[in-house]
Amino acid sequence: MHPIVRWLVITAVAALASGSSWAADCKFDTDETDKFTKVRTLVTQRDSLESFWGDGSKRKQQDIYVSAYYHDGEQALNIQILFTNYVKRMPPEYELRNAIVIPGNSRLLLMMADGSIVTLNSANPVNANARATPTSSRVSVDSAASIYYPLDDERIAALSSQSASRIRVEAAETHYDFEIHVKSQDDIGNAIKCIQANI
Amino acid sequence: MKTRALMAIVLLGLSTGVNAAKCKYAQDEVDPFTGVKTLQTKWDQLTSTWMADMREIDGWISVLAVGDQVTLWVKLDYSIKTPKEPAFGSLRDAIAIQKGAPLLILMADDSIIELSATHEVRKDAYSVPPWEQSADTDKFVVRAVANIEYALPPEAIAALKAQHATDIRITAANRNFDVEIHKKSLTDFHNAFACTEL
Amino acid sequence: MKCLAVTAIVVAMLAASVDASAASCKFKQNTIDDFTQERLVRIDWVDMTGWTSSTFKRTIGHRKDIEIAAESVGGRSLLKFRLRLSDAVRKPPRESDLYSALYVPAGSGLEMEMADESIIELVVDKEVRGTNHAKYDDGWFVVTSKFVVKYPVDDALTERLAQEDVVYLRVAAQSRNYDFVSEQGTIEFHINEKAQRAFKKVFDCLQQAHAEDHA
Repeated sequence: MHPIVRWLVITAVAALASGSSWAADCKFDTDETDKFTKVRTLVTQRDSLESFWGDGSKRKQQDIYVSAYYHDGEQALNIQILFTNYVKRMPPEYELRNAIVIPGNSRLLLMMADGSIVTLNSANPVNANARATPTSSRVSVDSAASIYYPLDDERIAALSSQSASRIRVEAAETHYDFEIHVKSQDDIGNAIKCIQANI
Repeated sequence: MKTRALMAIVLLGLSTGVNAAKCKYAQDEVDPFTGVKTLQTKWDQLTSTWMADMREIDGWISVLAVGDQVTLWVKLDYSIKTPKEPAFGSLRDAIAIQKGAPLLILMADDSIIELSATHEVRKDAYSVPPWEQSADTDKFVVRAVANIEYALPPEAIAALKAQHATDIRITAANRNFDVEIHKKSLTDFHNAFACTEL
Repeated sequence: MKCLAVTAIVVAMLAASVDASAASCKFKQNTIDDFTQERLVRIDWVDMTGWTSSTFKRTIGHRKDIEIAAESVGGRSLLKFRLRLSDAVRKPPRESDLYSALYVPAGSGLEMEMADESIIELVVDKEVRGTNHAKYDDGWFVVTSKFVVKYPVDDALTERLAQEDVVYLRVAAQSRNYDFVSEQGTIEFHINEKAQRAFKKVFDCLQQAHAEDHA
């Protein structure tokens, strides 16, 4: 084979392999079929969308994880948000209530690579209380919420066709914005593709 | 020919005798006033006894026959380990079965037999701290045990006798409790029916 | 002589605490939201405590601080007050005491008395409960309540507040067990000249930010 042709073949194979690398990375936390109902449930392993290193100087920390979910023919995106706040003294119990409140049908906004915005709506209301844990010099106040956003064909196509750079989780009277780390911008699309490839 | 027939009868008699000898009863009495016979088999564990304390859910069955009224009893033992002491109030109604809630029994041919709970059952869990356990552990054990009675209509008995059951699902108010029947326990239903002469 | 010295100190404190002579607007945020394309404007807190006199006697353990800020989202503006009050008591507070130490019920009003003696009334639409805590100090329990209350303001009011002087504030609130609120059910603040300039500056900056959208 001519060296140039050989180089072209190798490059094409490499390109194909890198384009389909998400399939090799598909990992599932759950892949089971209910013995009684025969309903299949698939949940991809959750991916962190923010930088691993975060910003150690912040008094507040936040994390966001995504996984794709399939159950009984329905697909959804599961977003988990976690917040840690450090305070000087143990807060009273009533201050920990309703730390995160996300009404049903709240929006999830995803900024895509081409500047368009894909909007999803949450399935059910989510209310989470915070938890306070004393550490050596201060008190850590943690709160977390897991929200499901059903996906239809149009949104599946929109989310799996390009990467997402920013994400906004709308809550009651506020919203939470996250910058998606450059290495994680394909995570949402890949999670959805993993489900699509396995159902 | 006659010899073979005699041998078969003797073997059948022996096997019946062996089965009868294996029957263990929690109750075996006749009411002196009504003449009604009550037979209840002892609890038979559906799950393996091996590594039982590592399992969240264990199940036992027993058959109760009072005259010609037959019911299936299921004992559900649910326990989890947790690093933190459970919050007050979280132990309430750990097992909550509504009257009429289904028990699903998955058979070897993938068919499902459905029975209904005859009464409501509500059991709170209790917590055992690490320092009160015999094992060397730093975890709390949260445990709840409930005995649930299910109606056994004749067609269900016939279906349960026709083949083995492989799994049961106890439907509770907030969740399902699934029990996979250990291979050594596949004949437990048959044995219970045999012991109660059904 | 002593009176003059005290006055001088107070004036110096006033000058230090209120940056009334700031020529430019200090925006904590003045950006376009990528998702909604709305302009988000936040004017940073301005401390108005140093110059206020109050109808309550200021003693050790009694504190009454107020800061003002403003924000708008897509031209919908909010006037914000951040209040910090404290009271000293002998009896250790229970959690239930702290819960109702100070709060602003939904529908409570704010009265702003203007220089021309007119009254502007605003209403808060949601209940506000502060962050309340107690600290032991030499035989006393100092109970401090900190909260932020926000009132919607329209363009006309924004313009008015950028041009006219506010001389008195009355924030309607409720308090149980502690000496935070007057018998009339209000927390009151007198606004002096330097604070009036700071107040107007906040709204002038808000108007400038809105004008960028119309430019």
